[in-house]
Amino acid sequence: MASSIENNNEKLTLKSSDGEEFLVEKHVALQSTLLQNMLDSDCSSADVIPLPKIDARTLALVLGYCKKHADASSSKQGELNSFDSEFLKDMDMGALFNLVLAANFMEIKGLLDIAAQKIADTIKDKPHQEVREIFHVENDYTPEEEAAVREENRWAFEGFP
Amino acid sequence: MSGSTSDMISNLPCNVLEKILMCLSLHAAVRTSVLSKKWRHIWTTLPQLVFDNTFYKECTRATRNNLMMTIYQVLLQHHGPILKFTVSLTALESCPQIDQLIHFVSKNGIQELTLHFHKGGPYKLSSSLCSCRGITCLDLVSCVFKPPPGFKGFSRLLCLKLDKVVIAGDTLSSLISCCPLLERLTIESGSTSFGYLEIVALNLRFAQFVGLFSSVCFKSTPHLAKLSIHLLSSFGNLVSEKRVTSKPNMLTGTFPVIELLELDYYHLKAMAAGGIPNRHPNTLTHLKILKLHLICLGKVDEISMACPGVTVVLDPIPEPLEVQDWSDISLNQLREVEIHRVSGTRPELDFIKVILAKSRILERLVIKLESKEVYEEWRILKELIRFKRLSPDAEITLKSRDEVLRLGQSF
Repeated sequence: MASSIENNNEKLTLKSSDGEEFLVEKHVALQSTLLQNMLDSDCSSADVIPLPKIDARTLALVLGYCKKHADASSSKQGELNSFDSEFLKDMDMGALFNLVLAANFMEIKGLLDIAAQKIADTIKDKPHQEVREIFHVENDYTPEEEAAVREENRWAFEGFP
Repeated sequence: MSGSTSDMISNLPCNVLEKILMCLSLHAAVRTSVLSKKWRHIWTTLPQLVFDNTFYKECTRATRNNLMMTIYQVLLQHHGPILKFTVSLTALESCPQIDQLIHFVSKNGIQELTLHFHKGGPYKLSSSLCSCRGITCLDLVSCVFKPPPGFKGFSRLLCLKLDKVVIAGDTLSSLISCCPLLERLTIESGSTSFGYLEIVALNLRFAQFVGLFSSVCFKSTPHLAKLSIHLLSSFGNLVSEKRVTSKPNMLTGTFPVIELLELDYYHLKAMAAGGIPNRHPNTLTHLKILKLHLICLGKVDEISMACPGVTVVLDPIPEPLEVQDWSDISLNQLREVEIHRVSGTRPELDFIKVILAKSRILERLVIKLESKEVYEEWRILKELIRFKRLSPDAEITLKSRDEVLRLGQSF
């Protein structure tokens, strides 16, 4: 099985939007379906793969997640779960959105799931005015329109200001 | 990427927004419609709609009195595929209007359908269910299933769960055989009894039966790896003893790759009387875990004590097992055995003797005792010490009766 060990040690280079290069082991990169498809279709992993939508700070986070998940065996699910919940703890909204976009672009399902859950947890149980403030959503409804939208599904707004 | 003061959430790609909204309750997802004009209709294309008790908890009293109307309102505003649809509201009475819901989702690509009813009697399933060709998971509680003539099954069904579903035995057998991809099957009979069930399911991996089944024949299940059969209801009461005794419970068939077998007393009796091992001596070679519940062989009184309020009528003590009767059996893959509620009768001890004598790589044998008497423990222990063990690594653990018997824990 010498060839597979060789493959495991194979590395590729990813380049962030701000020009920083990351040397990544192939088995770590395979956590991303996007990279997996690229590697499947084109074997010249010597080339640098540009990721023009992802900055270095975000890419470092993403690769940290990928490494942890690629190295852990499936029997350590509990450990991975606690890693996941620690991973996003105390992350500011800007970083979280960059991360969710990167996970979506690179097609890393597990990371996309936990980042989406984290954003959802911020929304739930909050009055919409507060949600607007947190996410800087501009309200373009007139008061009458807004009242009409609420009225359409009154059952969902009961108890909410 | 943009700075932290711009509206990043509204500009997320559609699929990411959808993912976020699907992490929310339906109430919270609908409330996002008021954030801005862009958000108004995002929730209306979500591919899953779940009306369950969590949904109910968020409803005010006015809405609770008008659950059907709220469901209608949601469906009227929804557009696009509905892949997952759940109605499981303890407070909702089954009613013919449910037909319209099924009709609606049947035209919108439904894949996972869950319908649980707890009030108003069994719901007679709409025939439009049978036109849901793409269905992969069907989970029904308290429904009447009577497919129209010429029903060709669900060609993509992977998972079928029926609890208290009124369905004829032969209809159920043919439904199962008409679902070629079926991997998981769970059937709880409720108070009605099934007669003869014949299981032809080429792709089946997991099967669980709880309740009354006179006879189950696994005619062709080449991939079945986990099988669990209980005559107990989930509340731990014996379902109805009269019918059990009127027809002996028989489990037949071949299990070429079975890894986990979970049985209770009645099926053990059937085994001893010529059920699985004797008929098919070589079919348990992949068995890794054997779980036996309620093996009070010949101890009828103790079953009644364990399940108060139930009159138990059983045949007299079954034939004792002899090791030589099992001479053609090999349990070469058996690693772990757990036997619950052992009271130390001769047939029980003989059975344990067989397990120890025939299992080459047995690692763990856990025996949970029925009695709390030290003397009884002592007596059983004395017997156990004398049994020959084929596996040098076999470790026997004797446990006192301190744990509640929980069904299906290994799944």
